Amino acid sequence: MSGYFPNLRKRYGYLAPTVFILIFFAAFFIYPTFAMVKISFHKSLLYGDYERIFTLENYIKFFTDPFYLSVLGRSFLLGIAVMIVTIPLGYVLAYALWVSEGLQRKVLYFCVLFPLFTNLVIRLYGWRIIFSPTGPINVTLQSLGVINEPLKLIFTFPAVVIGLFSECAPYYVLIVFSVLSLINRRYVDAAIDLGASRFRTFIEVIWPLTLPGVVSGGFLTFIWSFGAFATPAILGAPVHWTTASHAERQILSIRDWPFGTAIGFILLVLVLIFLYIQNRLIPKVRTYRTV
Amino acid sequence: MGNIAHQDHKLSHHIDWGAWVFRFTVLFVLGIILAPIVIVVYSSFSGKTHMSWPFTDLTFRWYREVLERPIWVRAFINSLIIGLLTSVISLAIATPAAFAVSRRRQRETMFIRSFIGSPLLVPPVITGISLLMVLSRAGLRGTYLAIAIGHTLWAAPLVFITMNAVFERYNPIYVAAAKDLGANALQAFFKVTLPIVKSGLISATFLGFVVSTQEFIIALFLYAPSTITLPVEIYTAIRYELSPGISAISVYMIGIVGAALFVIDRVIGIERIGFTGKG
Repeated sequence: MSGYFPNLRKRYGYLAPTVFILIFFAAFFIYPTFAMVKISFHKSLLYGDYERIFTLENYIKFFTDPFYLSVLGRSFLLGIAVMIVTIPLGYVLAYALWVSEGLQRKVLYFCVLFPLFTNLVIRLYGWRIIFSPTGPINVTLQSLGVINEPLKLIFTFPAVVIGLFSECAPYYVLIVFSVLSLINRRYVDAAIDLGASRFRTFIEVIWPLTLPGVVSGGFLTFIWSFGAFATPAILGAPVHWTTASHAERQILSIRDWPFGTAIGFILLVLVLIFLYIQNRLIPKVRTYRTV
Repeated sequence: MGNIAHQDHKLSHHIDWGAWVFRFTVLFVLGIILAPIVIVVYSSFSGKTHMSWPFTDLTFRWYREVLERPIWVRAFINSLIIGLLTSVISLAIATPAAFAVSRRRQRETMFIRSFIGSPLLVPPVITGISLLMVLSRAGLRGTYLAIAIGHTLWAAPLVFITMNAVFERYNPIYVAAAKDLGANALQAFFKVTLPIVKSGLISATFLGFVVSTQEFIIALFLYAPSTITLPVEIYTAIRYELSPGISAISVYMIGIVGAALFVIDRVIGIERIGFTGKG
């Protein structure tokens, strides 16, 4: 083959060692996706079995059922809510990380990274305790006399949003921080030398330069919240469950693989659409080269 | 950042509200991010068997008790085995790729780097479902290998990113010098390249291991009772009860993460973990 395409070999030959990871991904990432899609077109039978004929009934079932459409809508809302909370708050943390130095920066970095590597289940468990009727928030408020009965904090929408925020924030902070650290400090110094206030320097210099990072991080937060299944399942009531939660339930509990994979595929397509939108958006918000 | 010198004489005896709001917000956000972990650690010392705040009768007893329950020990060992498998496989497939890609400028390799990083963008539910379909049919559902494969999909991109950064710093001039001095390719690799990238390799290994031991969603789809991992075991446990025993297990897990991060920090400095800007 190299005889016929010598240019190809010269141009891409250096990529030879990537073959291992590419084969691995092809076998366990790409192919399974197709397999999943294929099963979603089958007809489900009772007791977790399915008939291998081609049918669209799973998709029709999903899109004509107002329940599932509302699940989609609620997942969407959840993604937006988490995004709205994460973008400003995460930015503050990333900014603090950027302007800090030495030990302070190491400590901050550690605080951001540590939850990232900690098991999601442990963190959700922690939130369960915090929000429970006998947990710190309720007990403290009661003992201060602010309320008489425990507030219902667990299994509410805000609980899910806060839980997802604590899950996505570290990633968002890291992304925005890496963009912030690319900013040439001379731009900032120049602005201040020219008499701009801190506020104005931020609005007109720093913020526009970090916009691609904010968009990347924001979309990542949205996609992960939209596709989250554990946090809504543990911190929220069944009414808060996302598309992903229902996909998991169909597959593992109800064992309706065709329907579950259909939900999974719908989720995947939506994620790809969001990624595509993000890709189109980023060049539009890129202002200047930062270095 | 520069000094706002020309405004100093006006503001010197005014409170800098902006800075205080900023500091408060930072602490608030940090608080939210760290709160669950702090609570879990604190609750693991509670003397009572049920969870109610405040936690009194502080004791270490749960830490001893959970070590005697076979389900926790089994889950812990499973997680270790799978973590090791994941680490090894990710290292094996990602390091050559990272090296190859580092030989060219970033602009040329953007497509392949994005492709290798792509599994991180797909919600793990989808990966879990699709792997379940394929691996069930292959009869591999519930095996260590199956879960390790699922975890590798998540770990390999991270190992790739880390090693790519390491290799980009590494200068091929050293290898050229060694070859000039008479070494062949293999000798040059083991005596020159390897020692330089050793610290990166250690960190990447830990990274893969930690990611695997903490991963829970994909493991949930692929596990069998004999290969259940610790996170999955905790997940099923908290559906029925909240007890200090679970907190103690969680603290063990947190300890593993903390230790690994500490090692990574010692070896390459914790700032090196983190995504190079995806924009």
